[in-house]
Amino acid sequence: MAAQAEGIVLENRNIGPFYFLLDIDCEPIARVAVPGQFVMLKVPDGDRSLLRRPFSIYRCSRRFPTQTRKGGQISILYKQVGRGTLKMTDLKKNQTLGLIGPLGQGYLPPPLPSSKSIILIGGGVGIVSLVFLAEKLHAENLFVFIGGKTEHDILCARDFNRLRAHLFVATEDGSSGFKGTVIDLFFSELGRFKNDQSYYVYSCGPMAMLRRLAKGIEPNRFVCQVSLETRMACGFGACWGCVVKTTDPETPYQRVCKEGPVFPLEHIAWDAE
Amino acid sequence: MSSSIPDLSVRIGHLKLKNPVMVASGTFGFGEEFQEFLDLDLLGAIIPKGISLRPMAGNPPPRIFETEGGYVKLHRPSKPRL
Repeated sequence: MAAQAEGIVLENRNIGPFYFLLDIDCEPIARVAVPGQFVMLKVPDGDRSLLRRPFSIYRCSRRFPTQTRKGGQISILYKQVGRGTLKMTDLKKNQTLGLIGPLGQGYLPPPLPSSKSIILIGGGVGIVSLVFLAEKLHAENLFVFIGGKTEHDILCARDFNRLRAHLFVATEDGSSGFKGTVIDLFFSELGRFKNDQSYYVYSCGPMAMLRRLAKGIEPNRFVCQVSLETRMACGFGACWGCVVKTTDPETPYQRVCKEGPVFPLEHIAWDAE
Repeated sequence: MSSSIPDLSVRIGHLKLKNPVMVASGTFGFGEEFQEFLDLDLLGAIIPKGISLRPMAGNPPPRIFETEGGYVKLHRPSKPRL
């Protein structure tokens, strides 16, 4: 159940060029969040930015409350890309933040025993929600494809190494790993994976990346869920501003914030977007 | 000083509302989206988004664009059937 909650900044630190890690003490959200869900965060810049910003939950931990902490922490890994996120980089310890969350439908875990074979494909900050997922799934065979424009955009590799994942890295400029997009890399490695639906694929990244995945993957080869990134206004289904075209004739437009952000790959009308 | 709750009821045409507090159309979905954040019984009325006899898909995205201190939304929303 989502809550309108107040969070307290525990830490906000620069972890690389344009990337920041924000830890927030927010027990109402940390208590119930699942991988793939997100929060709407009000950037404290007066009334300049009316809309809250959506951020995937990177980490979520519950702990015993202390005098200074309420017992639950969420972490957001964000990239400074515009006015709102630039303002966020100024957030200081103990500063109060307005949050709504956790929101949306998270990733559906695969039924056992298929959970032993998981493929994660993340582009840019899209990899963030897949870390939370991987830590929950405890997969025996975890294959992770991470992509970015340059080596500085390769995020969370250390997290996946700790989980003993088979890690594949792609950069568009070739500064780290495979030269090309993460989807190019994934398709070049397809021969590794049996064609028997025993692998579950989860992917998050820009729409163009997910479209390439959808267009290039053989139908029914994998059970595949994708988490979409889009502009949002309310974040909880009231405004219908974040819709995506689907293959469902009954509901041709569905809300990324409410019915998503995670959808089965085949549920999205990729030609329409 | 009386502790009784004042009568805030109002009449609008045939409707009698327990108070005149209403949400503006288009800002509040169909009401149910706000159930987790607000006791809807506190409101005098909800003015929902448009409802049509047959469902309407609405316009394709993008539908929203943020501006300084506000945002613009393309106003041809998805409508469920009656």
